[in-house]
Parts: sequence; structure tokens; C-alpha cells
Amino acid sequence: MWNRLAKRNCNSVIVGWQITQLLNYLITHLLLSAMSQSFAIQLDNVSKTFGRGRKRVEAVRQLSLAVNTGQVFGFLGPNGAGKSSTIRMMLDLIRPSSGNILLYGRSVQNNPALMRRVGALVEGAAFYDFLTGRKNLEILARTGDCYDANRIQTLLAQVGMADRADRKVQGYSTGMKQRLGLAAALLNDPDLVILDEPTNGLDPAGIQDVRHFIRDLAEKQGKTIFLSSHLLSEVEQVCDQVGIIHNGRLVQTGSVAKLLSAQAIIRLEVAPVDRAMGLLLPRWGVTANGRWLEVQAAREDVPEMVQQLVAAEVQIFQVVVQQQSLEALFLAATAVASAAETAHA
Amino acid sequence: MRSAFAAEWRKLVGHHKAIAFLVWIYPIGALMIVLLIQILPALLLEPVREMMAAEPIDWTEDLLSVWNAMNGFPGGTFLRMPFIAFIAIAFAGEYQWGTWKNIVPRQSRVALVLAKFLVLGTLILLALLLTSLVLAGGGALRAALFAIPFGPALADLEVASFLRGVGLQVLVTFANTLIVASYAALIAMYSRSIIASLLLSVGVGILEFASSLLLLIVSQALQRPNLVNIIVALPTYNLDNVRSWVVEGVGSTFGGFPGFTAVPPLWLSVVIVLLWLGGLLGGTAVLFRRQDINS
Repeated sequence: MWNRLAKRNCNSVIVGWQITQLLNYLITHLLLSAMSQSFAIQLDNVSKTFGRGRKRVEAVRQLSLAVNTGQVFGFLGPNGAGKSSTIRMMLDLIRPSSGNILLYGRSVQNNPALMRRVGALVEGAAFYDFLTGRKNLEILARTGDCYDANRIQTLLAQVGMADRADRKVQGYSTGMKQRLGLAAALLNDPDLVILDEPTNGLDPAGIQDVRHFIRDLAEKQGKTIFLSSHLLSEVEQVCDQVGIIHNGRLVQTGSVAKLLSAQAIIRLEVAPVDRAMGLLLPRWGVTANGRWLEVQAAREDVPEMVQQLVAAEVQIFQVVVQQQSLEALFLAATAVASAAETAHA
Repeated sequence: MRSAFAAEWRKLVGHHKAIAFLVWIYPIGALMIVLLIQILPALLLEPVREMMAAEPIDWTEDLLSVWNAMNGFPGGTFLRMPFIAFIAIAFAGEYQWGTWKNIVPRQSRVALVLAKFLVLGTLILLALLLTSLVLAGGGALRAALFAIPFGPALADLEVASFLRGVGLQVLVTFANTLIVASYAALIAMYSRSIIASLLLSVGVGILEFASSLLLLIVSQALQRPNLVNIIVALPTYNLDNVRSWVVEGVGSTFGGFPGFTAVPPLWLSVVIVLLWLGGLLGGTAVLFRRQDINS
């Protein structure tokens, strides 16, 4: 009797354990799946090496990043940092040496149909010079099985090329090719738009047009934008998130606003300077310049700083918050990365 | 695949200079031959007219002449050069213009390569078909202008057998075009330059022709005449052999080369051609699937 009961209990425990495991698996799996669905782009430890032996070049090194759907993500880096190689891997134009690239939770390499959700302008727009701009778009649309003459006309008008669409591309300026490239990237009405230096060769008015256009794509049409640029002001104006790449490595990533506010310079005119410096130094980086102290801190730290100084009877005459530019942030991040690599070497 | 074909067709037909000088040059050249060499001299010179009238015109021969020339050996090797150049432009151009990056994300790589092969094959066949019609039409015009006997009458013609002959020539030409296109495509994928792939593809075409002469010289020099039989492994010979078996009822003796004894049966030549075709087309597709597009 006891044996039978014990056996029954044991069976119930096993079944219960199995159900718990199953539920755990389902919840984890569904959660992960739901999480990856909310990411338009996920790069997991991606590396790319070109050549062999002496000609071996590591273009991208263990790069991991994630871009949420609906975001405008700025991808910053100096020339040769690995931006274009990363973009080409995302488009399956080149294969990563290691790591995974997921778009909307699916591997790029095993799902060519994913590309129907993606539009791209890769590293300088290139077209068939012997054809007109419109014909080029028609051919690209037909290749992607999304030909719609009305959409082509609308896009040409949106990028300001409607009146020049029937001229051969060989007569186009770089800026005109860029505009056409932008239209080409949107032919299939993609969810994710990948733009590699989209304002290259455009005049100042054209640059403004394109920036507004990109913001509209994100805000009005809900598209996710991955924007590679060396123009820091452009990224600052257009992007929500930014990733800085240097020598193939991601050296900084985060929201533009947070990164900038985390790197402000607080200038304080105080007396006595020595006492103030002694109070602030343990926590923040401080340099003295006459009656002025320059403190590297976040804007949010200012009230605490002021409270400490007042409590220690330090007189405060002026407080000036200097927001750092993305340029300074970029230069600092790449300089730190370079120094670290030199030290490592 | 249909959309990839349509896009490729529009693209290549839109390259007016290349298509005019390297593809439409055949029917245009045939028209020039008909007008300037056959009609005009006969209109102007009585002796030419008399000479022409003495020889009856066979429109079936005119119709087949271009196909025979294209599939003949070694003449076909040289006649194919402009086509090879066009094929080189079609493949290497995408690298040089930097346009693979636009189309590769929009369609599967295999479909893109197959669409190129199909469009090139179709365009070349169309050009040869037009050439053949121009030559046959030229014969009819000469017959009408100068009262030359013209035949054979349709009633006297074994239509089924004639059409089978034409169909075979077209098939052989199509297979030949695909093989040549594969050479050019493979070279283009490695060289990534129009000029380099054009020169190298023409070089391979000449090498194939020269290899038979080379084999002959080597076999004679080594006093091993059987060595020349290696040629039966090459696609050009086998295409000629298929044509020869079907049209003439005997295998191709390879121009009566001394020592050449290994005339393969029809089925074996067909198999060898299919193996070449499959290997080259498949190889091109596999190579392209794995290739990094950096341009």
C-alpha cells in the first residue's frame, strides 16, 4: 500500500517536473522569440576577416549590437573602421567569418526572403550608367518582384528626381545618384532601411532634405533606420541611438541623449577653489583654472554637486553646464580605444 | 525567376552600344552582305548577274548557313568572339559598375545567374535567327530580282526532317552559347573586370581551338598519334559530333586529323555535353553563392 502510494507520488512528481520544464522551456522560448521580434537587427559576436597570411585584415571584430524596431540607429566610425563591411554582412553581400546576424529574429544567411523587408543604399550609389534613372529603378523593382510604376514615380518625386528621371545616369552628379539610391532603397516599401553615408555628395539644402526625409521615414512610416555616417552632426540630429565602431570593434553604444548628457562639462566659479576641489575630486574628474573648476560629470549630477559645496560653505558664483558634442564624444571614444589597443599590443 | 529574367532582359537590351556591336551585328552584317556583296554588284555588273543566275538558290541552305557556321569547327570559335565579349560585359559589368550590391539583396543569387544565362542565350539565338532569316530573305530577293531558280518548293521538302535539322542546330547553338557563357562568367567572377574577362574569355575560346592543333603537334612530335583523341573530352568537339550524327548520320572525324579514331556515339557525346553544361553552370552558381560582393 505504502509502496504503491510512494510510487504514485513519485510519478506525480516526475510528471509535475516535466510539465514545469515544458512550461519553463515554452516561456523562455516565447520570451526570447518575442524579444528578438522586437529587434530589427541583432549582431551577435560578428567578425569578418579578409585575405590570408600577410594580407589578412580583420575588418570587423566580435561586434555585437541590437537595434529596436522603429529606431533610427546611427553607426559612426572613422574611415576603414568596418562600417561598410558590417552593412554588407547585414545584407548578405559578404559572409561573416564568425558570429550571427539576425534581422527580425531570423538569420540573414538562411532566410533570403528576409531581404524583402529590407531596403539599402550601400556605400555610394551605383547604377547602370547607360540607362535612365527611371529605367534603373524599374529594373531593380522587377528584380525584387515589386514593380509598381506609380510607386516609382512617387519615390522619384519624394527624392526630388522626378524631372530628371528620364535622363541617362551617366549625366548625373554624385548627389543625384545618392537621391536615386535613396529611392531605390525604398522600392519594396521596406520595414528596415539601411543607409550608408546617404548625404555624400549632396549640397547643404539636399542634406537637410534627406535628413528630414529620414526622420519622416521613422516617425511617420514607422520604419527602422540604420544610418552609417561620418557626419557627427547628422547622427546627432537624426538618430535616437548611436554605435561607435573603431578598428572593427564597437567602442560605445547607447542613446544619443544619454551619451551626451553623461559627458557634460560643469564649469563652477567658486571660492575657495582648493576646498571645492577637495570635495569634488573623489567622485568626479576636476581641473582648476583660476577661480573656475571644470568638472566632467552628467548634467543630472549638478544639484548634488551644488549641495555638497554649499554644505561645506564653499561660495558658488556661477554654474555653467557645457553639453559635449557628439564629435567630442566620438573623438574621446576612438582615442580611448586606440590607446587600449596600443597598450594591449 | 520570371521577374529576374524580365529585369535582366531590359538591362541588357538597354545597353544599346554593346548589344548593337556585339549581338545585332550578326543580322546587320548579314543584311550588309546581302545588299552590298550580293545585290548591288549584280545590279551594276552584267557578268556578276550572269554568274549568279547560273547557280540556283537553295533557301534551306541559306537558312541553315549561319547555324552551320556557328557550330562548325574551328570557324565557329572565331564567329563566337563578339558573343563572348557581350557575355563578358554582362557578367563582369556588374562588378565594374558596382551594381551587384543593388540586385543581390533583391533576388536569390542562383536566380540572378540563371536569368543572365537565359537572357544571353535567348538574345544570341534571336540574333542568329534573324541572321538566318535575312540570309534566306536575301536569297529570295536575288531570285526575284535576277530570275534565278529558287527552291526547293515546300511540297518537295521533307518538312519534318528539315525542321528537325533546324531545331538541332538551334539546340546545339544554345548549348554552345551556355558553355561559352559559363567560361566567360567564371572568368568575370574571378577577374571582376570587363576588359580582363573579355580578353581572357576570348583567350579561352582560342585556347580551345588551339588545344586541338597543339594536341596534333604534340601527338605527331611524340609519335603517339592516339594522343589527339583527348579532344573527345572537350565540349566543342562533342557538339560538332552531335550535329554530325544527326545531320549527316555519321560521327565527326574532327577534320580527318591523323590518329583520330575515337568517334564517340551520339549518346556519349550528348552525355559529355550535358556534363560540361551542368558542371560549368553549377560551378558558376556555386561560386557566385559563396562570393563576397565587395564592389
